[in-house]
Amino acid sequence: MITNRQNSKSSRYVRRMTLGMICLIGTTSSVIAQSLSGPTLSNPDAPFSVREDSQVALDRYSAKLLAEATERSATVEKMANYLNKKAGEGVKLRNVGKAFVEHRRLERLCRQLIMLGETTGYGFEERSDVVGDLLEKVRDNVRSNPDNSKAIAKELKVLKIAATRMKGSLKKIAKMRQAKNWTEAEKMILAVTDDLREMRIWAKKKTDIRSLLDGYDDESRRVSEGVHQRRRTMVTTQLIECRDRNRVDLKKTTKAISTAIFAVGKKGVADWNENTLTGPELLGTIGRLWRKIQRDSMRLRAINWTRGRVDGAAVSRDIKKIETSYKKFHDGMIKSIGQLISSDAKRANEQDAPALYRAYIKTIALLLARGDRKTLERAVASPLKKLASKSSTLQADIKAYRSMTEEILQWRRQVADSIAAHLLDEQPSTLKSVMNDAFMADRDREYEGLFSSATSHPSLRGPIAPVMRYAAEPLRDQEILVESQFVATGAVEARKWTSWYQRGSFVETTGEIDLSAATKALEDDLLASDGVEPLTLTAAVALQRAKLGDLADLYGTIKEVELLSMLNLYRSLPADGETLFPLGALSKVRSRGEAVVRAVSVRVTIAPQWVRTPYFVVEMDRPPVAEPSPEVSDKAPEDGPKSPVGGAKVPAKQAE
Amino acid sequence: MNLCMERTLKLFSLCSRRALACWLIVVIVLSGCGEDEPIVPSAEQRPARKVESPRVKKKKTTAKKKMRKVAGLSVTRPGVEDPVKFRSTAVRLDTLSVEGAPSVLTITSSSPKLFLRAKVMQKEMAALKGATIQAKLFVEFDRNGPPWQSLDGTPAALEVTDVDGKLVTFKMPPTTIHNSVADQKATIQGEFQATVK
Repeated sequence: MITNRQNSKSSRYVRRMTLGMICLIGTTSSVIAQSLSGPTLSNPDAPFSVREDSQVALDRYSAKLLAEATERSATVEKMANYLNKKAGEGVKLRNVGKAFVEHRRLERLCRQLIMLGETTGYGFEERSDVVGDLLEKVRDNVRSNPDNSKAIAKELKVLKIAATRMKGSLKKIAKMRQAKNWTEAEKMILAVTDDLREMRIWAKKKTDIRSLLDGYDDESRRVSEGVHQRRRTMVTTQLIECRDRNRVDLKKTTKAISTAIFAVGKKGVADWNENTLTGPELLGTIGRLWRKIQRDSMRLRAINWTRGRVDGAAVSRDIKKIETSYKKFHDGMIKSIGQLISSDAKRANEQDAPALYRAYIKTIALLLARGDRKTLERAVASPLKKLASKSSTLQADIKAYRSMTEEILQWRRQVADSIAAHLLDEQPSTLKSVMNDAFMADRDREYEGLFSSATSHPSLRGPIAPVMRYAAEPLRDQEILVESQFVATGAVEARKWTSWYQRGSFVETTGEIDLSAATKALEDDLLASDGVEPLTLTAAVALQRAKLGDLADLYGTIKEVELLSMLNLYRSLPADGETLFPLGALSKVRSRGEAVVRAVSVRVTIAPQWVRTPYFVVEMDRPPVAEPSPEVSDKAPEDGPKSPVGGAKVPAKQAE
Repeated sequence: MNLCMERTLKLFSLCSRRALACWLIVVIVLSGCGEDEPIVPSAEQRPARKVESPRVKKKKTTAKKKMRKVAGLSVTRPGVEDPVKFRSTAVRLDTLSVEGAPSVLTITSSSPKLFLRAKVMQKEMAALKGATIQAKLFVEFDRNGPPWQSLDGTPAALEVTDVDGKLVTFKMPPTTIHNSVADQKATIQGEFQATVK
């Protein structure tokens, strides 16, 4: 609850903080979803964390509500359990009444959190429903005990006195309401509500006390509507501000890119944000800009989802517009990349071509490693050919380089595939299969789970703690194969691996996976360690992916599973959202309204046993050792640490 | 035809009767005179076959003779009685125009599949003569089976004993290759020749 003074402070704060947040966008933490938390296998009762952009007033408001809800939920659960244990024997009626009041307060907090688009609001609400049922059971037990009849009658007498007191309060509340002093009006009506509730729970029928509470229901509804409307307006205003600040001018950006491409075609360089960029440099800049726009569009969409939840606004048109504009921009970007290389190729002469070609290959490899490879590859293939045709020496070099590297990559892939197949069971459990085992609803067992069909997005369908307790068995210490693409993220000294977000879940690894030796061996095979830059896209992408730490497969043991608010995940996407979403189209989320706030993302933490990239396998306990660079020598090779080409570890007995 | 006859008379005085008879046959055959049907089938009639000059034929014969001199590359696997021999080995040297860039020597064989790859600093095959190079080695005995390979720390040491035009002779001392998925070893060795491609 916010007091009047706090409120005016808060609105000033909101404005300042909104500005603060805008400055902050793009410099947020680089580690994905680290600030988010939720129920886990080890702590199924943990609440979902709320949005956190650190300087936004809304975040503070959410955080305050969360803290209150956490405390109140614990209190009311403790009270309900204590009273339930007593099973109606020797229970003080006033304590039961107080538990009902606490429960009511918790419900109010839940509604406010839900209005802010916080999944945790539903989490607490589901828990609160369970507690509510328990309290009603306690109340019924107490009421059915004849020993308590006198005490109940006494409570109803007290209710009559409180009702008389209430009449006086209602006049004051009406005045406050008419003066639009919503904070004070709400404070007073809630005090009255709690006061009455403590006793009114003992009335057998509502009709028995209707005359006593005459005028209360109407006043309570009016105040509640007014307060809610005011709160909604405040939150919506902030969200609209946030939306407008986050809005991306795609038309302007597209135009700027076209102008720069034209300039590169004419002069070989383009002016971009007070810098002079060559074609390949411009391509790199466009790639980064594209990624930022993709991330911003996803955040913007999430802000609109929240807004839709708060004020019931018809945001679907806004969301559709974001998705359509981005799609158009995305398609335009693919064309632009091709056009940039083509126009540069048209301009370049025989002397420029080799360096230009190498620089383009390097930049494109980075885009291909992180994006929709097939589409991008198609877009750049012909322009690159055009550029290569400018120099016969370059063409000969490309041909020779392909001949030098094509087969070794094929053999490496074959070895990696064989090792991976050998390390796997015949039918390994996959992330998908264990997720289904753990979270698929089962009507026969009255298990709600997180989804009803394999295609639906995980969401809160009931109290979450029982789901996590049930899921612990099929999930904990389960060995699984994760086939989706993994990317390295986080600080270099503590590299964490994160998989791409698929079907509402993603995987993180517990510790470091050292790919450096295997990557070095690959570099050596591709002549990169000899100072030769890759001349084919296949080789350049292979190298880039190894350097970035892209994994094709990961096999490991599940150590923890945590649920996060999907909406918060999207809202708090850091600048390098690439570690969850590949460069390209916006991720598809069908949920709207309540469903989008109920939607959860599942973070699975895995202790890796082995990982596979397309060109090598690395096992965790015995990392591979890089080979020395072969060179012409008359000496016999010395014995040393050995591992098979392809990067896998050598079983101990193989090493001589 | 008249011209042919004049030449024939001139030659008659110089050569013996036997030699003249031979020459006449050749002339008649080449000019096709006096025959409705050609003695040698036309290009359409005869099966497509590359015509080789005697010089090329001679070179090939020499190469074949040379190839017969070496035992060839073979692999001995424990539990397998007969060593596996590699046939039709080809070698190529790919070079780049980039200054200081290594070249890559590749030796392949199709049955069983062999892949030998070495980085060298020489830009021409002939310059490799006498050098010992260290190569990565892959072998696939069975299409569905796992590849065998040399280990990263112990590449195959390969001596280039001779480079003679299109034929390069290598000598490989016993080298261990490993099954990439099982604890199995095999030994590959031998003197072999590969045709430059």
